[in-house]
Amino acid sequence: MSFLNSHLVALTLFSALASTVMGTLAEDTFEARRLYALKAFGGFFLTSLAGAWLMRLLS
Amino acid sequence: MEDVKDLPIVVDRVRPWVAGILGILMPGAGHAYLGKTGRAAIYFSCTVAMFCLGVFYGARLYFQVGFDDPLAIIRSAAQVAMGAPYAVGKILGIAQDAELITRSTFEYGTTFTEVAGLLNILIALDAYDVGAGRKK
Repeated sequence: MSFLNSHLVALTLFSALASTVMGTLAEDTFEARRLYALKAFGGFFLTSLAGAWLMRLLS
Repeated sequence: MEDVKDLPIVVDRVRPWVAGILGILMPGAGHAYLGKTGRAAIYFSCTVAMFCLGVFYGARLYFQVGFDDPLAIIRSAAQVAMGAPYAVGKILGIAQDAELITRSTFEYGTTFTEVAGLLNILIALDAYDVGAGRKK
């Protein structure tokens, strides 16, 4: 279970779980939910990566 | 052919506030009460998985009393909003150790448990709306 301690794995799990719930809450059809969840997942994941690299460059 | 007035009257017994309260007590229970079992399963599995991952990462389940640290009240309320999983954790003494704060993933764990609770508030409000007929 040590792989769970990876920052990237934690980010992936958090993004996947939160975006699944948000997509299911926000939309009414399966297709719309899937699209919303994918967008939310991408938003979580990419902005976190971008923020992490930005902080690294600024530190 | 039966006349309309002879047909039995079917009264919808679903009460939105019951769905909302069930939803806050146990993630997905409000939707299960409304017969939305698929959605209930998604909500339950995602929020409970997030909460359990938070505990795995070293979150400390706390209950803030008093106003000496106002922000801690909000964070504590977010964890409490998880409902039954939080209560089970507190009763069984899981994630109570003060030394958890020294773990490198403590903040990750705390964030996971708090976000799980906040999502459960949204899920309970959604159950209320579905029960009231404002959403499908």
